[in-house]
Amino acid sequence: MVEITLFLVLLISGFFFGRLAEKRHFSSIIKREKETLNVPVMTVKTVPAQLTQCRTFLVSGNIVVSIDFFKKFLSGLKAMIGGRLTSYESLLDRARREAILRMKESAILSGGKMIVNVRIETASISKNSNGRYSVGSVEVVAYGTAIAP
Amino acid sequence: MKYEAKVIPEGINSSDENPLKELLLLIGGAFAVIALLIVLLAYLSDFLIGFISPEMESNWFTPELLDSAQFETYQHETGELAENQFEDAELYLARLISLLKAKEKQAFKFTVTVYDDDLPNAFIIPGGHIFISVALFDAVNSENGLAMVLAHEMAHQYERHPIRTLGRGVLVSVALSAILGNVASEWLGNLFIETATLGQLAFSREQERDADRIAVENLIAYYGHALGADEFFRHINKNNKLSSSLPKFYQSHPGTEARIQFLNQKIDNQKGQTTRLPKLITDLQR
Repeated sequence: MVEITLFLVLLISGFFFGRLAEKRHFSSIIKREKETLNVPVMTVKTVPAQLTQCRTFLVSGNIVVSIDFFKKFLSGLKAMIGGRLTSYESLLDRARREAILRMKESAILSGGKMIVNVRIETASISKNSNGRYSVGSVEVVAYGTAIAP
Repeated sequence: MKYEAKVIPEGINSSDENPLKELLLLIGGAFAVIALLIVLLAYLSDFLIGFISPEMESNWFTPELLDSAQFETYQHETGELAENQFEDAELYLARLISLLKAKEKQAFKFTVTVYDDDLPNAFIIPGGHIFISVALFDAVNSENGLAMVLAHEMAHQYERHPIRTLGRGVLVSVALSAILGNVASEWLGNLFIETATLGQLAFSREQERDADRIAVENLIAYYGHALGADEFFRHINKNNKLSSSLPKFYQSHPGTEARIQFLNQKIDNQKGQTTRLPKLITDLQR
């Protein structure tokens, strides 16, 4: 009985807090993406020829987003029958966009006008979080070469 | 090459669908699968148990076999002295059992063991071995009350409840461990186990109701009335409020109130006298 109650409390609070956090995060991401639209972000490896005289420097952004209990449970359930783990997809989307945003914001702070050779990686600091009460998280690092006039 | 910054449309890498919908669908499915599995395994188990005659059962679950497991725990708790202390009571109960046993049920063999415990309780295990706690003697006022408890346990055996429960338990736990080995989340595993437990508790409640019904008929056949049948349940109802505080689906037995009500319907308008308990039993009352 205690098990079930604890489980339900974790599930419901995970759902509500997770939903709230995700909603807020997404609206913040969309707003900031529009604000930083004037800074192009590209994956090309070289600095464009006409900008070779500009100042370049490394910029990076990283983020760690924790999954909530609800997402973890839902994905565990879904993993039995297979298919898209939509509860994790939104998490990855948030992490990737936030990491790029932070990288852009750090470039803007130093006068950067564009970023090239952008790379995105995931780090692993909570891989072994398969315990009963522990929850995993997604970690994304984005880095690139900022170009300032 | 011209670079143009564009706002990326939403909903490509993440879906906007409410996850609750998915959750309900998946949980519903999981419950349905487990429930179906349990029902199927229960039928399979009952089918297989049909091949085991009562004689075979008593040959397998002999007191010697139990000596090594179940009996020993009680002997360990009660000490050497207790064994002799309850021997007379056991003989009396065994005689009562053979009197209560209907002619067509002669194939069923019973043994009875009295164990020292403060909790009034009686149970039966496969092989027809009935266990009665000494505190149960306090919970009844007449031989009829005691006979009802015995008849109830005997009814379990007539219906093959102990071995059926054992068979189901083994099959379901084997199936569950096969599934759980492949389940990623421990919580999910717990959900399955809980579902299985609820299913088994529902079986158990049904068995208890059947046993009550058969026992009361047995009692009427022997005494000519069912007076005193409710003594034990009234005692539990008075002294134990804990079990009724749990929700119904979480209990192994039907509510005591419901059982008393059922018995009262049987007792109503019946005339007769209850038989007094013999001295060797009243001596054990505290």
